[in-house]
Amino acid sequence: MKIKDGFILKDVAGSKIVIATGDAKLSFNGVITFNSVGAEIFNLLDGTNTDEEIIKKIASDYNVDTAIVERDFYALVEKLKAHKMLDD
Amino acid sequence: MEKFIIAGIKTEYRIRGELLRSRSENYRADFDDSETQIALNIRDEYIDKKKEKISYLSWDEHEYMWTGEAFYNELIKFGGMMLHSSCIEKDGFAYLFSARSGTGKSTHTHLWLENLDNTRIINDDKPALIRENGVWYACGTPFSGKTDENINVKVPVRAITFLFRGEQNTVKKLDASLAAPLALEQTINPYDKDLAINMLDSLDLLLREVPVFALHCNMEKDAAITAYNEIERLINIED
Repeated sequence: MKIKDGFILKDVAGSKIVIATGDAKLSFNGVITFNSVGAEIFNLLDGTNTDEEIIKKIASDYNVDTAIVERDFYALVEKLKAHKMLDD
Repeated sequence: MEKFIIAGIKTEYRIRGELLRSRSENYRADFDDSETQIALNIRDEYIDKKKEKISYLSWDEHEYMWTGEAFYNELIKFGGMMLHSSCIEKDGFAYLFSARSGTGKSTHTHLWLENLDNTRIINDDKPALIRENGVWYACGTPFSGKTDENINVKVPVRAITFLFRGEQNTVKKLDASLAAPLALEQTINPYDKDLAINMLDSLDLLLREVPVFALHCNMEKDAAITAYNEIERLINIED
Protein backbone atom coordinates (compact mmCIF):
# COMPACT_ATOMS: atom_id res chain seq x y z
CA MET A 1 0.00 0.00 0.00
CA LYS A 2 1.15 3.49 -0.77
CA ILE A 3 0.04 7.03 0.11
CA LYS A 4 -0.99 8.90 -3.04
CA ASP A 5 1.44 11.46 -4.43
CA GLY A 6 0.77 14.99 -3.26
CA PHE A 7 0.00 14.30 0.39
CA ILE A 8 2.48 15.89 2.76
CA LEU A 9 3.05 15.26 6.44
CA LYS A 10 4.64 18.05 8.48
CA ASP A 11 5.11 18.88 12.10
CA VAL A 12 3.39 22.22 12.64
CA ALA A 13 3.86 23.66 16.13
CA GLY A 14 3.87 20.18 17.63
CA SER A 15 0.97 18.84 15.62
CA LYS A 16 1.53 16.19 12.93
CA ILE A 17 -0.47 17.50 10.04
CA VAL A 18 -1.35 16.03 6.66
CA ILE A 19 -2.63 18.17 3.82
CA ALA A 20 -3.05 17.53 0.11
CA THR A 21 -1.24 19.33 -2.68
CA GLY A 22 -1.45 19.07 -6.46
CA ASP A 23 -4.16 16.83 -7.92
CA ALA A 24 -4.61 15.10 -4.55
CA LYS A 25 -6.51 18.27 -3.56
CA LEU A 26 -9.30 17.24 -5.92
CA SER A 27 -10.24 14.33 -3.67
CA PHE A 28 -9.14 15.75 -0.31
CA ASN A 29 -9.26 19.38 0.70
CA GLY A 30 -8.99 19.26 4.45
CA VAL A 31 -6.55 18.70 7.26
CA ILE A 32 -5.82 15.51 9.19
CA THR A 33 -3.81 15.33 12.39
CA PHE A 34 -1.97 12.18 13.38
CA ASN A 35 -0.43 10.97 16.61
CA SER A 36 3.21 9.91 16.42
CA VAL A 37 2.39 6.27 15.59
CA GLY A 38 0.00 7.34 12.86
CA ALA A 39 2.64 9.68 11.45
CA GLU A 40 5.21 6.91 11.41
CA ILE A 41 2.81 4.56 9.64
CA PHE A 42 2.01 7.33 7.15
CA ASN A 43 5.71 7.69 6.37
CA LEU A 44 6.20 3.93 6.05
CA LEU A 45 3.33 3.69 3.55
CA ASP A 46 5.63 4.78 0.73
CA GLY A 47 5.23 1.62 -1.33
CA THR A 48 8.51 0.04 -0.23
CA ASN A 49 7.16 -1.80 2.83
CA THR A 50 4.62 -4.61 3.14
CA ASP A 51 1.84 -4.37 5.75
CA GLU A 52 3.60 -7.04 7.81
CA GLU A 53 6.88 -5.14 7.74
CA ILE A 54 5.21 -1.93 8.91
CA ILE A 55 3.34 -3.71 11.71
CA LYS A 56 6.50 -5.46 12.85
CA LYS A 57 8.52 -2.21 12.83
CA ILE A 58 5.92 -0.26 14.83
CA ALA A 59 5.52 -3.13 17.32
CA SER A 60 9.27 -3.19 17.88
CA ASP A 61 9.72 0.65 17.95
CA TYR A 62 6.98 1.11 20.54
CA ASN A 63 7.46 -2.23 22.27
CA VAL A 64 3.81 -3.17 21.80
CA ASP A 65 2.20 -6.52 21.00
CA THR A 66 1.93 -7.18 17.23
CA ALA A 67 -1.78 -8.04 17.50
CA ILE A 68 -2.54 -4.61 18.96
CA VAL A 69 -0.48 -2.79 16.32
CA GLU A 70 -2.18 -4.85 13.59
CA ARG A 71 -5.61 -3.74 14.80
CA ASP A 72 -4.54 -0.07 14.94
CA PHE A 73 -2.77 -0.32 11.59
CA TYR A 74 -5.86 -1.57 9.74
CA ALA A 75 -8.06 0.96 11.52
CA LEU A 76 -5.75 3.70 10.23
CA VAL A 77 -5.71 2.17 6.74
CA GLU A 78 -9.53 2.29 6.71
CA LYS A 79 -9.36 5.96 7.69
CA LEU A 80 -6.86 6.69 4.92
CA LYS A 81 -9.04 4.83 2.41
CA ALA A 82 -12.10 6.80 3.49
CA HIS A 83 -10.18 10.01 2.72
CA LYS A 84 -9.00 8.55 -0.60
CA MET A 85 -5.40 8.97 0.51
CA LEU A 86 -4.18 5.54 -0.66
CA ASP A 87 -3.22 4.50 -4.16
CA ASP A 88 -5.62 1.86 -5.52
CA MET B 1 0.13 46.08 -15.25
CA GLU B 2 -0.47 48.56 -12.44
CA LYS B 3 1.77 48.95 -9.38
CA PHE B 4 1.00 48.59 -5.70
CA ILE B 5 2.82 47.99 -2.44
CA ILE B 6 0.90 45.46 -0.39
CA ALA B 7 2.23 44.17 2.94
CA GLY B 8 5.45 45.91 2.01
CA ILE B 9 5.79 43.87 -1.18
CA LYS B 10 6.12 45.58 -4.57
CA THR B 11 3.28 44.03 -6.53
CA GLU B 12 1.96 44.39 -10.07
CA TYR B 13 -1.35 43.25 -11.51
CA ARG B 14 -3.77 44.16 -14.22
CA ILE B 15 -7.12 45.70 -13.37
CA ARG B 16 -10.21 45.44 -15.51
CA GLY B 17 -13.14 45.67 -13.13
CA GLU B 18 -14.25 48.59 -10.97
CA LEU B 19 -14.27 46.57 -7.74
CA LEU B 20 -10.60 45.61 -7.87
CA ARG B 21 -9.75 49.16 -8.96
CA SER B 22 -11.49 50.91 -6.10
CA ARG B 23 -10.24 48.48 -3.46
CA SER B 24 -6.65 48.76 -4.73
CA GLU B 25 -6.53 52.56 -4.79
CA ASN B 26 -4.95 53.02 -1.33
CA TYR B 27 -2.13 50.65 -2.17
CA ARG B 28 -1.06 52.30 -5.41
CA ALA B 29 2.68 52.95 -5.59
CA ASP B 30 5.41 53.89 -7.96
CA PHE B 31 8.58 51.88 -8.36
CA ASP B 32 10.94 50.78 -11.06
CA ASP B 33 9.91 47.75 -13.15
CA SER B 34 13.08 45.97 -12.08
CA GLU B 35 12.03 46.20 -8.43
CA THR B 36 8.81 44.23 -8.84
CA GLN B 37 8.61 41.37 -6.35
CA ILE B 38 5.22 39.90 -7.23
CA ALA B 39 3.70 40.05 -10.71
CA LEU B 40 0.24 38.55 -10.98
CA ASN B 41 -0.77 37.78 -14.51
CA ILE B 42 -4.32 36.55 -14.33
CA ARG B 43 -5.76 35.86 -17.74
CA ASP B 44 -9.31 36.80 -18.73
CA GLU B 45 -10.00 33.16 -19.60
CA TYR B 46 -9.12 32.11 -16.06
CA ILE B 47 -11.70 34.53 -14.64
CA ASP B 48 -14.21 33.45 -17.31
CA LYS B 49 -13.82 29.84 -16.19
CA LYS B 50 -14.30 30.73 -12.54
CA LYS B 51 -17.37 32.78 -13.46
CA GLU B 52 -18.84 29.78 -15.30
CA LYS B 53 -18.41 27.62 -12.19
CA ILE B 54 -19.82 30.14 -9.71
CA SER B 55 -22.19 32.24 -11.76
CA TYR B 56 -23.94 34.17 -8.98
CA LEU B 57 -20.79 36.26 -8.51
CA SER B 58 -20.12 38.95 -11.09
CA TRP B 59 -17.04 38.97 -13.32
CA ASP B 60 -15.65 41.87 -11.29
CA GLU B 61 -16.14 40.00 -8.05
CA HIS B 62 -14.34 37.00 -9.49
CA GLU B 63 -11.48 39.18 -10.69
CA TYR B 64 -11.19 40.73 -7.22
CA MET B 65 -11.38 37.37 -5.45
CA TRP B 66 -8.90 35.49 -7.64
CA THR B 67 -6.42 38.35 -7.75
CA GLY B 68 -6.47 38.22 -3.96
CA GLU B 69 -6.03 34.45 -3.99
CA ALA B 70 -3.07 34.76 -6.35
CA PHE B 71 -1.50 37.47 -4.20
CA TYR B 72 -1.82 35.39 -1.03
CA ASN B 73 -0.32 32.40 -2.81
CA GLU B 74 2.72 34.49 -3.76
CA LEU B 75 2.91 35.98 -0.27
CA ILE B 76 3.98 32.53 0.98
CA LYS B 77 7.25 32.90 -0.96
CA PHE B 78 8.02 35.90 1.25
CA GLY B 79 7.54 33.90 4.43
CA GLY B 80 4.07 35.33 4.98
CA MET B 81 0.56 33.99 4.88
CA MET B 82 -3.07 35.00 4.89
CA LEU B 83 -5.31 34.13 7.82
CA HIS B 84 -9.05 34.26 7.20
CA SER B 85 -9.89 36.52 10.11
CA SER B 86 -11.14 39.92 11.11
CA CYS B 87 -8.15 41.94 12.24
CA ILE B 88 -8.49 44.93 14.54
CA GLU B 89 -5.85 47.30 15.86
CA LYS B 90 -5.98 48.51 19.44
CA ASP B 91 -3.31 50.80 20.92
CA GLY B 92 -0.88 50.01 18.12
CA PHE B 93 -1.22 46.23 18.23
CA ALA B 94 -3.12 43.85 15.95
CA TYR B 95 -5.61 41.30 17.26
CA LEU B 96 -6.83 38.69 14.78
CA PHE B 97 -10.11 36.80 15.19
CA SER B 98 -10.34 33.76 13.00
CA ALA B 99 -13.27 31.43 12.44
CA ARG B 100 -15.33 29.77 9.76
CA SER B 101 -17.55 32.07 7.74
CA GLY B 102 -20.76 32.86 9.54
CA THR B 103 -19.37 32.50 13.08
CA GLY B 104 -19.27 36.24 13.74
CA LYS B 105 -15.64 37.35 13.38
CA SER B 106 -16.60 40.67 11.92
CA THR B 107 -19.47 41.14 14.35
CA HIS B 108 -17.01 40.61 17.18
CA THR B 109 -14.38 43.09 15.98
CA HIS B 110 -17.15 45.64 15.37
CA LEU B 111 -18.07 45.24 19.04
CA TRP B 112 -14.47 46.22 19.79
CA LEU B 113 -14.84 49.29 17.57
CA GLU B 114 -17.98 50.37 19.43
CA ASN B 115 -16.85 49.57 22.96
CA LEU B 116 -13.09 49.94 23.16
CA ASP B 117 -11.00 53.08 22.65
CA ASN B 118 -8.31 53.58 20.09
CA THR B 119 -9.41 50.80 17.74
CA ARG B 120 -9.64 50.47 13.97
CA ILE B 121 -10.15 47.59 11.52
CA ILE B 122 -6.97 46.63 9.65
CA ASN B 123 -8.61 44.07 7.39
CA ASP B 124 -12.07 42.67 8.03
CA ASP B 125 -11.58 39.33 6.34
CA LYS B 126 -8.15 38.42 4.97
CA PRO B 127 -5.21 40.22 6.57
CA ALA B 128 -1.71 39.37 5.42
CA LEU B 129 0.74 38.19 8.03
CA ILE B 130 4.43 38.79 7.45
CA ARG B 131 7.50 38.23 9.58
CA GLU B 132 10.33 40.75 9.76
CA ASN B 133 13.33 40.38 12.07
CA GLY B 134 11.49 37.83 14.14
CA VAL B 135 8.37 39.97 14.58
CA TRP B 136 5.00 39.12 13.05
CA TYR B 137 2.99 41.96 11.51
CA ALA B 138 -0.61 42.07 10.32
CA CYS B 139 -1.15 44.12 7.18
CA GLY B 140 -4.13 45.62 5.53
CA THR B 141 -4.52 44.56 1.89
CA PRO B 142 -6.97 45.43 -0.88
CA PHE B 143 -8.46 41.98 -0.34
CA SER B 144 -10.88 42.17 2.55
CA GLY B 145 -13.81 40.02 1.47
CA LYS B 146 -17.34 41.36 1.21
CA THR B 147 -16.55 44.74 2.72
CA ASP B 148 -14.01 47.40 1.83
CA GLU B 149 -12.82 47.60 5.43
CA ASN B 150 -9.06 47.59 5.13
CA ILE B 151 -6.36 50.15 5.75
CA ASN B 152 -2.86 50.26 4.36
CA VAL B 153 -0.91 49.70 7.57
CA LYS B 154 1.50 47.20 9.06
CA VAL B 155 0.97 46.56 12.76
CA PRO B 156 2.73 44.11 15.13
CA VAL B 157 0.55 41.15 16.05
CA ARG B 158 -0.47 40.88 19.70
CA ALA B 159 -2.61 37.73 19.54
CA ILE B 160 -4.45 35.34 17.25
CA THR B 161 -7.78 34.17 18.60
CA PHE B 162 -10.04 31.45 17.23
CA LEU B 163 -13.62 32.42 17.77
CA PHE B 164 -16.51 30.11 18.66
CA ARG B 165 -20.08 30.98 19.56
CA GLY B 166 -21.00 30.53 23.19
CA GLU B 167 -23.52 31.65 25.80
CA GLN B 168 -20.84 33.03 28.10
CA ASN B 169 -17.72 34.98 27.16
CA THR B 170 -14.58 33.00 27.98
CA VAL B 171 -10.99 33.10 26.74
CA LYS B 172 -8.54 30.22 27.04
CA LYS B 173 -4.94 29.91 25.99
CA LEU B 174 -4.85 27.52 23.05
CA ASP B 175 -2.00 25.09 22.70
CA ALA B 176 -0.14 25.75 19.43
CA SER B 177 -0.58 22.13 18.36
CA LEU B 178 -4.37 22.48 18.64
CA ALA B 179 -4.29 25.77 16.74
CA ALA B 180 -2.49 24.31 13.72
CA PRO B 181 -5.45 22.43 12.21
CA LEU B 182 -7.78 25.37 12.97
CA ALA B 183 -5.46 27.81 11.19
CA LEU B 184 -5.05 25.50 8.20
CA GLU B 185 -8.79 25.52 7.68
CA GLN B 186 -8.65 29.32 7.49
CA THR B 187 -5.88 29.90 4.99
CA ILE B 188 -4.99 29.03 1.42
CA ASN B 189 -3.47 25.59 1.03
CA PRO B 190 -1.43 25.97 -2.17
CA TYR B 191 -1.65 23.56 -5.08
CA ASP B 192 2.13 23.58 -5.47
CA LYS B 193 3.84 21.15 -3.12
CA ASP B 194 6.94 23.24 -2.36
CA LEU B 195 4.80 26.28 -1.70
CA ALA B 196 2.58 24.22 0.62
CA ILE B 197 5.67 23.15 2.55
CA ASN B 198 6.78 26.80 2.80
CA MET B 199 3.35 27.74 4.11
CA LEU B 200 3.42 25.01 6.76
CA ASP B 201 6.89 26.19 7.84
CA SER B 202 5.61 29.77 8.20
CA LEU B 203 2.56 28.60 10.12
CA ASP B 204 4.84 26.60 12.40
CA LEU B 205 6.79 29.76 13.24
CA LEU B 206 3.66 31.88 13.58
CA LEU B 207 2.01 29.55 16.08
CA ARG B 208 5.20 29.17 18.09
CA GLU B 209 5.87 32.91 18.22
CA VAL B 210 2.44 34.51 18.59
CA PRO B 211 0.09 33.86 21.54
CA VAL B 212 -2.98 31.92 20.42
CA PHE B 213 -6.35 31.83 22.18
CA ALA B 214 -9.79 30.31 21.90
CA LEU B 215 -12.67 32.70 22.55
CA HIS B 216 -16.19 31.49 23.16
CA CYS B 217 -18.48 34.47 22.97
CA ASN B 218 -21.94 35.85 22.45
CA MET B 219 -22.74 38.93 20.38
CA GLU B 220 -23.14 41.41 23.21
CA LYS B 221 -21.04 44.38 24.27
CA ASP B 222 -19.45 42.42 27.10
CA ALA B 223 -17.94 39.97 24.57
CA ALA B 224 -15.52 42.63 23.33
CA ILE B 225 -14.58 43.91 26.78
CA THR B 226 -14.07 40.42 28.22
CA ALA B 227 -12.12 39.26 25.15
CA TYR B 228 -9.74 42.21 25.29
CA ASN B 229 -9.24 42.09 29.08
CA GLU B 230 -8.77 38.34 29.20
CA ILE B 231 -6.38 38.21 26.24
CA GLU B 232 -4.26 40.92 27.85
CA ARG B 233 -4.41 39.26 31.27
CA LEU B 234 -3.32 35.89 29.85
CA ILE B 235 -0.51 37.45 27.81
CA ASN B 236 0.76 39.29 30.88
CA ILE B 237 0.73 36.09 32.97
CA GLU B 238 2.97 34.48 30.33
CA ASP B 239 5.37 37.41 30.35
